[in-house]
Amino acid sequence: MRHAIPCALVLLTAAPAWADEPGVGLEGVDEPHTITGDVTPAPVPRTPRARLELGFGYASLLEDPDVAEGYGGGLFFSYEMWGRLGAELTVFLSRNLYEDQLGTIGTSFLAGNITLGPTIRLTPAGRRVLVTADLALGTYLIVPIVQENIWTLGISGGLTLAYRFASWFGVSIKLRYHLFNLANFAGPELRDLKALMKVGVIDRMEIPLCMTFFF
Amino acid sequence: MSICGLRLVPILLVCSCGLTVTSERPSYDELDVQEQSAVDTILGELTRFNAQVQHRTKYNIDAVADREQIHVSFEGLIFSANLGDDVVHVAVWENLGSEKQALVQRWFKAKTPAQARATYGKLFYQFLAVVQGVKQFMFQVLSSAWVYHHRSLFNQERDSIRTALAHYVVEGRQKEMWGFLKGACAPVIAQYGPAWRDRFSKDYLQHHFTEVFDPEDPTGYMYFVCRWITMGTEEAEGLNAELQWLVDLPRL
Repeated sequence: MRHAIPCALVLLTAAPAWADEPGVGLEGVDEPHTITGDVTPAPVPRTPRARLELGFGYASLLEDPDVAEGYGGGLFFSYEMWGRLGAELTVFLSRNLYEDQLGTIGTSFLAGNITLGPTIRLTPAGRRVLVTADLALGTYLIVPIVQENIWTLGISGGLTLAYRFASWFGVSIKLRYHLFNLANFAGPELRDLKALMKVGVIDRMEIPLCMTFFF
Repeated sequence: MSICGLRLVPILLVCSCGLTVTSERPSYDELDVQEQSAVDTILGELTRFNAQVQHRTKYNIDAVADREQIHVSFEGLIFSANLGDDVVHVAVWENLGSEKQALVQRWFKAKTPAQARATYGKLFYQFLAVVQGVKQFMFQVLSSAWVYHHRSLFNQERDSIRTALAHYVVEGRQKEMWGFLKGACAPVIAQYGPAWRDRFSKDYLQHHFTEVFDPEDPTGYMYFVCRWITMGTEEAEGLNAELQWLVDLPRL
């Protein structure tokens, strides 16, 4: 399963190249051209400014041998404000089961995030295929089993590859990498469940598949 | 754009190195003198309890009667637990830090830090160590998954403490340990009763587990322990009966 991670990284980071292929403009019954004569240029198809994505998929703490690969889900809302530039609000929660001795307890590592940050659309307007890159900053929730809930500072960066089936609906896949537990907002310092030592920066990668609504 | 995207790959992979939410526990040989001394005391208690378990049942707690499975090297927490992963965690006095040592001194109304240390050592390295051994017996017989799904934390602790009390009876140390516990708990119950008396319930513990057990300030847990000890001294049956009760739980 771990071998899948680099492959997914390569596939998704190479996506912008495919998105620039000609002939994938968004044309069709849901966004008809308004050509009325030879002299009237075809208008550039509208690129939706807002996008709401409901996603669920793979989530992994990349380097921890005591924590299994897991899953997560969340909601992503993005809005293009100045040309290709926009902002995205994310709410996401992931769950990873512990393995080996800790796995016998049947508990899991739960973490979530509420982040906001800039996005940039890497593909031209009016394409069925959209690629956006994003950065975000926000608060990350950690739910330990023997400590109070902890809110920490975190950052993330990633890419989204979306495909529009219709003007209002499509699918997307996201690749996000997070670094969190950078500083405490609320709650005690996180201790690890195995050695009860203070935990430093934690990372997580997630690849959710999303239902995407454009408007 | 694709080139820029591909450049992210090594950056992401490099960034991910060494970021973990678990750490390896140091081995016994890596511990300092006080930590090793605490492990020796805890291991002695667990070994004696293991002998009683083996003598009276077909089970054992060999998994934690092992110095490498006794974890004491963490700092700044007041903590004694067996979470079901074959490890007994007990905080060592010297690792608590002055603030938490002062808290422990207040619990027991000890006149000096040395007195507080003596009380803490006997309670945590001996009595609560056996309590964690009883939990190991419970996990061994019933499995961690069964215990977590079918038993309230309140009842796990109550039964473990009652069984530990019974263990000291068959060990011929009832007067010594029961007397010590009564003396140690009197100031805890007197001081914290007004705040915690009404919260001493299965329901409260279930919904406020992290507040009661908070390893930064487990005053609530200390009060609960003393109440369970009081209950246990009143209700304790023989060790055979206590162990059999735990074995029979799924059939009840």
